[in-house]
Amino acid sequence: MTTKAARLLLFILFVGSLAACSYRVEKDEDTRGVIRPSAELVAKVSFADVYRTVLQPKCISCHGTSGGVSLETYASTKNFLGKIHDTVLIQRRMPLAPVAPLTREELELVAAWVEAGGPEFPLNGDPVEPPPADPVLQPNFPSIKELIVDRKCLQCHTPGKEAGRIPLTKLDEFINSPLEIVIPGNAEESGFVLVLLENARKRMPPPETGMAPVSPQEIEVIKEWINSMDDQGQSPSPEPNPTPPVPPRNEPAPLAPTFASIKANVIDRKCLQCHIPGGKAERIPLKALKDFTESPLEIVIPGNAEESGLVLVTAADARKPMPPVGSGIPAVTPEEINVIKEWIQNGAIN
Amino acid sequence: MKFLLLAFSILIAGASSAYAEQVSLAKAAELGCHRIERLVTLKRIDAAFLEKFYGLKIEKLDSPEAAFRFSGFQALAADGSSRRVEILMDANGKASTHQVTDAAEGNSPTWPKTDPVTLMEYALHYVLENGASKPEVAPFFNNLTEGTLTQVQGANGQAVAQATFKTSESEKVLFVFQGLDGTFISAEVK
Repeated sequence: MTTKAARLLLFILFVGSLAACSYRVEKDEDTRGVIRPSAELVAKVSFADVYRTVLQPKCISCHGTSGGVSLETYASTKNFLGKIHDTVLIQRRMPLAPVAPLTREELELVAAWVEAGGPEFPLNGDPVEPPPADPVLQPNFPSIKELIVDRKCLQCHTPGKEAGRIPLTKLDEFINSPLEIVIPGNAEESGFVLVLLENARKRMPPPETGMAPVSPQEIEVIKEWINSMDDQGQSPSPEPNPTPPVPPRNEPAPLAPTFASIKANVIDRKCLQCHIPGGKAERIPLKALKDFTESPLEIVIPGNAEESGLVLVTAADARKPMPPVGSGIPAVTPEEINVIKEWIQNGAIN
Repeated sequence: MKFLLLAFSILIAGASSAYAEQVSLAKAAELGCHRIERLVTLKRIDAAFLEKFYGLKIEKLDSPEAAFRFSGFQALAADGSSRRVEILMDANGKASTHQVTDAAEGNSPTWPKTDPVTLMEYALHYVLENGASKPEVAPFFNNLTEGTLTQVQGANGQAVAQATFKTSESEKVLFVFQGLDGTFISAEVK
């Protein structure tokens, strides 16, 4: 009897100890570590929230519009919803070092957005502010450092890092380097420009890093900055910008049937990545109105939208659609095509 | 007062010497490799200097015009000559002028993954990164005279790039072995 009682006591103790060893499962995270966002967050999350909190600070340096997986606009990001789910939430592979991993709150936000189906606006109908626009790239060092160097170079070109022997942390390291990274007044021979070009022997950022290349538009701004320097490496002023700056990439702007509006809203954003000197399609420049109306390729035939190349190549069923499929550049929308057609039919005037 | 003047003079002298300090011979050689690549990119010299590169020589000059003379040369031709590009540099290793000496082209191995100038540059990175911490590498960091690049057979029978460096400090040579893609394998001083 005594033995039985002792056995029973031991059994109770054993069961009790097992219970004590159990752990509390967070209600918002299942046993596989998958984030389960609250229903409230799923209902109120918007693309703007995700862009502002996660994409812009932690993803855009690699996943810009210049190629590959583009996460700079709602339309392009939506295409990669499944990939975001797998690589960010399940495998937790993204973002790659040296970018800091997502915090718990950031993961919840992404999880809520994915679970909601990747909406542009909150499902509960709440009003939302549009995503903040990136600062405009200007032809001066502080701007180029903030928007290009800090995002695409310093992962390696910092003392102690992989390419630390060629530091790019301050202006002096550009203009006084024996490698002639920047030759004031001579952009064409400056290493900083040469390594960014598409045909560079050792292109930077290295393609194998997956980082988006610097776009031809951005390269033009860098060249403008270098060419504006005097022998001492001084720019005339940090502010002035004689040529139109690279447009903010996420700033919504009304599209109107005028050349200026179409250029700013469609051409600059969706064509100039390639149709610019130094770009893939530089032989078909799309800068001035005459490039459209006087081109032997009949890019624009005033009064005849249906036969104008610009309309034909941007149509959804185009044989060689522009922007090219897989370029990561969002397609020209039917609404935009209609405005372009209207402008051409009205004579394609400036 | 005299003491102050003396201290001031010492400070000025120190600052002057610091300003005039030269990069090491190994660093100048590495910068010379970079310069070859730039000259090819700018089409100032032909691409054979990159693709058929065989070796380099580096020396300090006692001249107000230049602090270093760097020569990058291609494989020796049958008559013993070689095409070379000579680059003059200042104390910081910044190139000022270059001059090409033509000769018959020699036979160069094929470098399928990474051009030989880049492989030489990577091998020099080993010297630069270990010159201060490894006493056996220091002579090559401070007093490098020449380097050559050849293909040899690795331990597993695969082709590997062997950079061979000489120094004016001793008869010893430094070997740096890399895969043909530039992956570091090993280094030894003999």
